[in-house]
Amino acid sequence: MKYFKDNDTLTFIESKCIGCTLCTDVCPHGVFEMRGKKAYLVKEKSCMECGACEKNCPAGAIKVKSGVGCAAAIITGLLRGTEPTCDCSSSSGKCC
Amino acid sequence: MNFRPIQKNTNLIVKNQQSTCCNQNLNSAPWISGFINSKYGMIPVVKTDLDREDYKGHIRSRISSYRDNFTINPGLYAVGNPDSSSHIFVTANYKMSFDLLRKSLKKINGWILVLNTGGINVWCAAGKGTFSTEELIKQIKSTHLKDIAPSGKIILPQLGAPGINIVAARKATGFNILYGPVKAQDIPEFLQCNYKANSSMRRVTFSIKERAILIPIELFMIKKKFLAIALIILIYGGLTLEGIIFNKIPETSLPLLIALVISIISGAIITPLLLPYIPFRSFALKGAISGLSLLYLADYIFGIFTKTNPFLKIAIIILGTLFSSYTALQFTGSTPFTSLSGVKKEVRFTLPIYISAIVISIVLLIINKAIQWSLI
Repeated sequence: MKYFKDNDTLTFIESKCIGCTLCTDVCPHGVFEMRGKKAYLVKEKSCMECGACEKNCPAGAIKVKSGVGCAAAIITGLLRGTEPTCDCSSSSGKCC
Repeated sequence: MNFRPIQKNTNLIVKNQQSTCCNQNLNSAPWISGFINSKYGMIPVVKTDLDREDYKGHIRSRISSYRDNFTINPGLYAVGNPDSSSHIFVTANYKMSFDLLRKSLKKINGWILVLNTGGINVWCAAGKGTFSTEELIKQIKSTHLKDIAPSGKIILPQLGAPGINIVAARKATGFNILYGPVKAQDIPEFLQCNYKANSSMRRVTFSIKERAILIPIELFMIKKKFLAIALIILIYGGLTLEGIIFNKIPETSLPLLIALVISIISGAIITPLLLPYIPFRSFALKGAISGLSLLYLADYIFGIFTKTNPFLKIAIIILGTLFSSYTALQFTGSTPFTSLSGVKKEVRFTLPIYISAIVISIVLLIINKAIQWSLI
């Protein structure tokens, strides 16, 4: 199943990659693939912007504008004038 | 579910001793088979078979707000007969996450380290920042893991990665920390394959079964909105120039209520089930398509709206389609593949359409009433 995203949310600077393979370990959508000793962006459009790759890349080669892809969180954010917020801990039971 | 997994000031080292502990709550947890007495306290040994009570909890948390309190205490637990070099599996303190992990550790001797995520599952907690590097380091320290299992490898759930900086965690704790597979059920194979996860173990799936299991909670979450809208419909139906008259309610309210139910069936059941098969990637569009189709089918087969005034009929179709679309859009929060930037786009695009549709429908509903009241 595919969704859509903005084009500029995920950036990968190949020259910084040290080939540690962590991005391929953490990505749940196979966005990165190891080719030789370097990672490559192979399925950028499948990125769900969870931010796992950026958080774990020791070389700082990956940048993602991460957050929850949840309409309720975005609408709540719009109403409150804040960033999208998934209020999982509330008694309403709404959670991702 | 309220007990402390580690009690201080015990110096015995007796493995798998049956519980003789004085802690009533600890004794009463049916998923504990015994205890390991370490010099830092009692470590509960947990069963790897789930029983009826466990499954009952799973079902209740799938259908209600029971899941908000479906928690276990953070800390260290054991499975089998672990020693100082056994693996340490990390999870969240949502009991469902914990249960799925222990169920997958049959015939494995290991430790389970439960992080305090406020009772939220691993992936959501990682996104919220409670399944975090700091929390991992904190639990490793407070459970004295460096003394209990100094040469054990720590296996993190892959979906915890948005909250964990593994390199920083390795540096801070001195442990060998790895990412295990997405699903706990793949852990035995992951261990057998020398900590290698194949690509299918590294990917999230969203099968029809995985989508179907989310439907009850979607319905539960929409319940309050449904009741509020139903009340408005009943008041609207009975409204006359002389006040609210009960026997006037069915004529107008019934088709509106039927459309409301149809739109919920379409938005919260049909759209999630048929998600990959409904055209377009936009959830709002998918919901609108399935809503409109279902309303049309209901009218075509059962003639539900044939006797309805044309103004009311158009309002019903607009509102029914809109509500189905809105309900389907909410499902973006339950999927494992929608992106923040994509849903933002969708919300920005659909909100003005929703507002316009509501305004048009209100005008149509006013015209309908004016006709009923012979004002025009």
